[in-house]
Amino acid sequence: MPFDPLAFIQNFNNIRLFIKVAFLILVGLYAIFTFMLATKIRSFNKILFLPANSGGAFLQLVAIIYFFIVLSLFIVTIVIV
Amino acid sequence: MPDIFTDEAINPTAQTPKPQPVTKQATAHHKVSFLSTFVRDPDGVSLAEQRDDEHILLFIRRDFITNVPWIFSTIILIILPFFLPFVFQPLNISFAFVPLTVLTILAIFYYVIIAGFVFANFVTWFYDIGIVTEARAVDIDFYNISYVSVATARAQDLKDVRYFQRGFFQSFFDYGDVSLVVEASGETLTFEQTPRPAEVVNILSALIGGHD
Repeated sequence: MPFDPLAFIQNFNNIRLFIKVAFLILVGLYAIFTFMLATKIRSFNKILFLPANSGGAFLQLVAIIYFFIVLSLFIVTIVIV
Repeated sequence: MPDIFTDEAINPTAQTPKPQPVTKQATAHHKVSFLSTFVRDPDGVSLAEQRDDEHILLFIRRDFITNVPWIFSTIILIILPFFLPFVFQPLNISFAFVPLTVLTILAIFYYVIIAGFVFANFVTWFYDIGIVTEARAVDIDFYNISYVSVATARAQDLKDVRYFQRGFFQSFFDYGDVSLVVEASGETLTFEQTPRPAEVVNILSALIGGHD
């Protein structure tokens, strides 16, 4: 049977699947980006030592929290959508 | 009769102040805060390969005003979704067929991306640092996430220093690019959009002069 793209799109379950896969790819790529950001901040904090109140450690903490938020969004997308 | 020619008495206490080399200046340390862009003799800042006797003279970041474009974009992006219904309703486009859970996650993802945009831009600004020590000038550049550059030039290798202020905003807010020409290679090290560029050039000129 030939593949009919219109019929595929009109099927509600297929739309859900399409959205889910697209979303997982997007969030996955974004998780990689945030991980890179956290790694860069970590390496910068090893090159340059800033005072504790100037935010170097704080930014590293924010980057790690942000990475875990994106990671949890990835998991939520797998489970819910 | 009035004396026309007299020997001036030499006052031992009144001496012409000698220009002091940069390394010998009496310094009061200044604190570096979260949003500092220009700190002379910063307290608590150090480099990984810094010698014990190497004193940091200047800590600079891009001027904070350079952050205004992305802050403005962020505000637009935050309020944009609230105007979407007004755009789609006249066009008779409905998203009723999309499940609510999908819409919710889409909205969360959208705002997570905005948070990431803010964070990446802030980090780019935060780690775009220039440091001048008694022995060298260090320029740390952080463009996006994919490009990082750490350039160092020894003070004795610096040949020339100049600054550029281009356009109305740079003149109005007093920031600009400071370029250092390295003698051996002829390459330039640039502190981009640094606040008070004239003062930075002064400090660097004194540093170069001290090593001549």
